[in-house]
Order: sequence, then C-alpha cells, then structure tokens
Amino acid sequence: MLWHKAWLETRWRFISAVLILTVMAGGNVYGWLATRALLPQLNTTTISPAAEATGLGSVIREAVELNKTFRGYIWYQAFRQNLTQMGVLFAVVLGCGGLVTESTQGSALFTLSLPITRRRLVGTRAGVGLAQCFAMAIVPSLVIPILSPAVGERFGLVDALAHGLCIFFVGAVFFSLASFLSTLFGDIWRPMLIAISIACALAFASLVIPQLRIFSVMSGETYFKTGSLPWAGLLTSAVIATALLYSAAETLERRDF
Amino acid sequence: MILLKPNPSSGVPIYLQLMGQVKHAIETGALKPGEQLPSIRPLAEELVINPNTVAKAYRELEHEGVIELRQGAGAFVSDKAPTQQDAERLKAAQALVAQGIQRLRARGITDEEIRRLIEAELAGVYRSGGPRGE
Amino acid sequence: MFTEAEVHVVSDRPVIETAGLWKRYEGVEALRGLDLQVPSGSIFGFLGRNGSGKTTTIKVLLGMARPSRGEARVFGCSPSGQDGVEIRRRTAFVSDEKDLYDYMAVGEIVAFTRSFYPRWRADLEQQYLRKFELPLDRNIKGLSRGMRTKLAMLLALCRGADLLMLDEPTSGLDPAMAEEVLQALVGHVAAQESTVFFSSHQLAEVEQIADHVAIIDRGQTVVSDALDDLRARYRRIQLVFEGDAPEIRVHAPGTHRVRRQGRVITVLSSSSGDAVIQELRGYRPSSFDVSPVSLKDIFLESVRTED
Repeated sequence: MLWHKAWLETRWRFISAVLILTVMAGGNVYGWLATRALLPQLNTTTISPAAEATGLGSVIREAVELNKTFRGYIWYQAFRQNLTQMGVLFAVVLGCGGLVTESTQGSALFTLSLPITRRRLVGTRAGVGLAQCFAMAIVPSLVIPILSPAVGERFGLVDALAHGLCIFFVGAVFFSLASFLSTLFGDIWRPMLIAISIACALAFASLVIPQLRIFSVMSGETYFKTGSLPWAGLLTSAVIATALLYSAAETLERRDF
Repeated sequence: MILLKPNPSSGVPIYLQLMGQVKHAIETGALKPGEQLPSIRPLAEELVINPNTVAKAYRELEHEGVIELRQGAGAFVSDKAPTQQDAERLKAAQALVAQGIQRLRARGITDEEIRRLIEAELAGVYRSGGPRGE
Repeated sequence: MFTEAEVHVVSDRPVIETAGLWKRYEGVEALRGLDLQVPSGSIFGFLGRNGSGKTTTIKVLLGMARPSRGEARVFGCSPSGQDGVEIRRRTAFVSDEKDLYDYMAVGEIVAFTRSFYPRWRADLEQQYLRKFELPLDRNIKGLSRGMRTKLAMLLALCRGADLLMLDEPTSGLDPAMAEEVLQALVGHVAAQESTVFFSSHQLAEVEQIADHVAIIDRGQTVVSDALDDLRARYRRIQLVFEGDAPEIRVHAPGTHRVRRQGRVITVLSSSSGDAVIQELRGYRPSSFDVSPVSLKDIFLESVRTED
C-alpha cells in the first residue's frame, strides 16, 4: 500500500499539473487562429540584414519564420516554450516531499517503524512520481493532435508522442533532482528553489556551452528539425535521473532520524 | 468484584496487597472454601495491573496453602478450612492491637506516631530477623 | 497463553539488550554507554528526565538511527538492514507525538497498516474499533489527541507483535482515557504473550502496571531492577536525637543522601537497609523510623543533579 500512500501525497499536485499543462497546450492550439490572421502582415515585415546579424535580430527572424506554419508554431509555442518551462517546474514540484519532509510533519517515525527498507520507500515514491511525470508529458502533448482539426490543421500523432517522450525524459531529470534534494532538506521550499535555480543556470549556461542544451533535448528540437529523436540527450537524461535517484536512496539510508 | 484496586504508590508491593485482600475476603466469608477466584487475565484487566503480579500473588497464596491452583481449571480457595481458625486468630490479634493502641493513645502518642512505630517495627522484623535492642 | 499462575516468559533471552550503547547527534551525546536488558514477557517501564535519551534509545532499537558505538539487539538481532525489517515486523511502535498520516481516514490507515503485517489480528481490530469508538470515515486531521492516541494504540495492538514499544503512551490524555489505554495494554499482554517496553513520566502508571523498571539519566542507566525488588530494597530511615544530630558517616553500601538538619538525620538506602540500620542504631538516636520509598522518590534520588 506504499503506492497508495505516495499517490495520496502527490495526487493534487499531479492533477493540477496535468490540467494546467493540458489547458496550456489546448490554448496554444487555439492561439493558432490569431497567429494565422497575422500571417499576411508577417510576410510584409522586413528586417534589415544589419539587424538580422545581431543576436536578437536573428532570434526574431527565426521566430517569424517558424510561426508561419502550424507545425512550426506549435513547436515554438507549445513544446519549446510552455510545455518545457512549465514541465520543468511541475516535475520539480512532483519531486519534492518524501520521508525527510514527513519528519518535519511528524509521521516519519510511523513510516520508519514499518517493516520496509528505506530503499523500498524511495523506490515506490520514485515509481509513482515517474509515472506521473510520464502522464504529465504525454497527455498535454496528445491534446495537440486531437484538437488541431478544430482549428483546421493537422498534427501528427507520432510527432506528438515523440515530443512527449522528450519532455518526459528531461522532466525525469528534474524530478529526480528534486527527489534527491528532498533527502537533504526537511522543508519543501529549499529543494524546490535550488532545483529551479539549477534549471535557470543551465538555461543560461547552455547559451555559452552547447553541450548543456538540455532544454533543446526537452523540446525535441532535433526531432523537429531532422525527424530523428535526440538519442544521446535522452540516454544522458536517463542516466542522470537514475544516478540522482540512487543518490537519494543512499542519502536516506545513512540518515539518522 | 470483591477485590479493590491496589494502591501502587503505597510502598507495599501490589502482589502483597492482593494477597492481603484475598485473605481478608476469605476471613470475612466473601470467599468461601472451594469457591473459584477470578482468572488472572480478567482480574488484571479489571484492576489494570500487570498480569505477572496477579500470577505472583496467586503463586504465593498457593505456597501458603490459602488457595489451590488446578491445572486447566483455575484458582480455588482451599478446602482445608484454615479460614475459621484464621478468623479467630485474627480476632484475637485484633483485640491485642486495639488494646495496644488504646494504651499508646493514653500516653499521649498520636495516631501518626503509632503508625510510624508499627512500620518501623515491621521493617525491622522483615529485614533483620534478630532481636531489636534499644 | 496464561495458565493459572504461570510466569509469563516467552523465552529466556532478553527481548531487548544494549551494551555500552553510545549515540552522538551532531556533537550532542544522547546516549553514553547505555546498558539495558528487557526480559521477555515483562512490562518494562523506562524512566528518565526530558532529554535523558529515552526516545533516542527507542529510535536506535528500531533502526531509525545508527549507534555511534556499542551494541543494540532486539530479538537477538541487530536493528539494521534486513534483520531490522524482520524486527519491525514483530514490533509495534507508538511515538510520543502519535503523528499519523493527516491525509488519510481512520479506515484507510488501518487498511494501510494491515497490509504490512501478515499476523494482523482482524478480530482485535473489530474489538478495538468498537471499544475505542473510532469512526472509520473520519479524517485523521480532525481527530482529537485522545482519539489519535487510541488509533495509534489500535494500530499497534492489532499487528500480532511480540514487542510493543511505546513512547509516553498516555501523555496528554485525561485520567479516564489513560486508564482505558492502560487497560488495553494489560489485557493485551495477558492474552498475547508479548513484551511491553514503554517510557513514561507518569510514575503512578509505571508503578501500576510495570514489573520491571529502568531509570536513565544523561544517556546512562542508573537503576534497573524488578519493581518489587526496588520496593523491597529502598528504605528511608529517619533518626531523631535529643540534642543536635551528630556528624555521622555511613559506611554501609547502597547509602544515598545523608541529610542532617538540626536534630534530625535522614538516610536513603537502596540496599534494604539491614547493614545501614545496624550501623545507624549505633548512634543511639532517641527515635528511629524506617519507611518505604515511593518510585517517585527513587526516581528523584537517582536523577538529581549533583549537590
């Protein structure tokens, strides 16, 4: 019944996450209508070559080009921005909590007096959390192909699944990070803030160090541009997530209550 | 239930208090020879005391011949009818105590002091066993 | 099962045993060489001031904290690793705060706990649900402290456990509820052949149901004995003299606290006073009183700060 306990502890967070992300994805689909109306204007907009040479200029250029097609628009707005950013946030939120947090609330001693190993506790919580991350990544992604016909467009089911998978793998990294940090701190805020700070730091660092472009993996940029999944990035994410969860288990094992 | 809750803080071990109560019940006729005593578990629960304590009291009572423990059946007041003799012996003892207390009171010794003297005397008898000199 | 007058011993080996147990938490020494033996089938009272190490001892025995040094054994096994899991399968623990899962209902936590114990007693579950009047659908968050304590007791008593470890089982309860809890404990021990190890500040309760007692002070055992033996051994002796009381020196062993005030000398002895009494009589007091000592006074004497 440990699964049930983990579920009870995280169900509202999970349900909120899925709902919000799904609504955002759906909102993005409907937002296409407004964007489509703007398209004629976009075509006449010119950016001078000089401006384009600057960093900001090329970003604007890229944005304009991408938003000209439904597929590009969806990738730009939904996968690259909303689902990635909010996905990281919710993955962190899901990963917080656990036994050490329980000890500030008092029931940790009851849990620890049960005939279970601490590893099993961490494993159960991680299992439930990862399943939740998966649902949180896939459901909003699937909403896109389902709702696209309503705005007169089509989006491939396989494409949506591929993007969902990318969101899940990288989201799992942040989930595991939050889980690990939660074995170090008793309160629920420090793990959250630290994990999000690390996410922001990575985002900035990746502008300078290309190897750290974890969010590009999350948004499935490679898949969008070339049709093949970012296997190296996904594998690295899986390895990092596993290592973090293992560290969480080991840290908890050594802790005195 | 004829047995009263023992006083845990009185300094007298609970099993001794129980033994005293059982003996008293036998003397006053509240428990008759051959009658069954309450079982250990319900008695312990009723009085909210340790079952081991009840067991110890019963064992000591059996050792003194006051009760019999029959395997599988329970604890019974022994038939030997020491009760009558005990009752008479105790009546005589009671008279002696009453006499002694009256005389001490006549000397102006308060009840509290009398109680302490008796306690001291008993403690000496329990532990030293030898003659007390003063 | 209890047959008439059989001493309640499940095995000869102590259920709980510690030897030279040390525990240090971030520079604070909670346990400093604790020695403890809890006989099987006993109701064992564990006394000590706040911060003396009672809760730490229980945590170490249940594998919640690792000893810094020394040994701790429950059922002959070490509380860590897989052995620890087996120990906890046979043990029921109730914490001081009696904190449970706020987000569950009474029925939910009963089902949750039941799933971990193959020896769970469904008959006792029904019995205690009725007796303690616990509503199955009420959220734990909405339970009063008394109800929470009763729920925690139910969860402990139904596990089919060989050992019950209770940290202040009746703290915060009114006398009627406290008696209910004690009664459930006593009834359980009588019927289930288990050992009870409980810490308490309620000395009257300890005197009521415990047959063994240990007093811990500053991380060490200072007294450990059968309660009846303690009662038999400790004596308070008071001597009154005609004139000012003389300076006396008592050589007999087991003498604590010799206090002299005006014409009165009071001596506390923990070795049944035989030798002490003989020695003191030699001073020829005009009056000589011997009285028993309550557990409270034994406790206060054992844990007092140095004069």
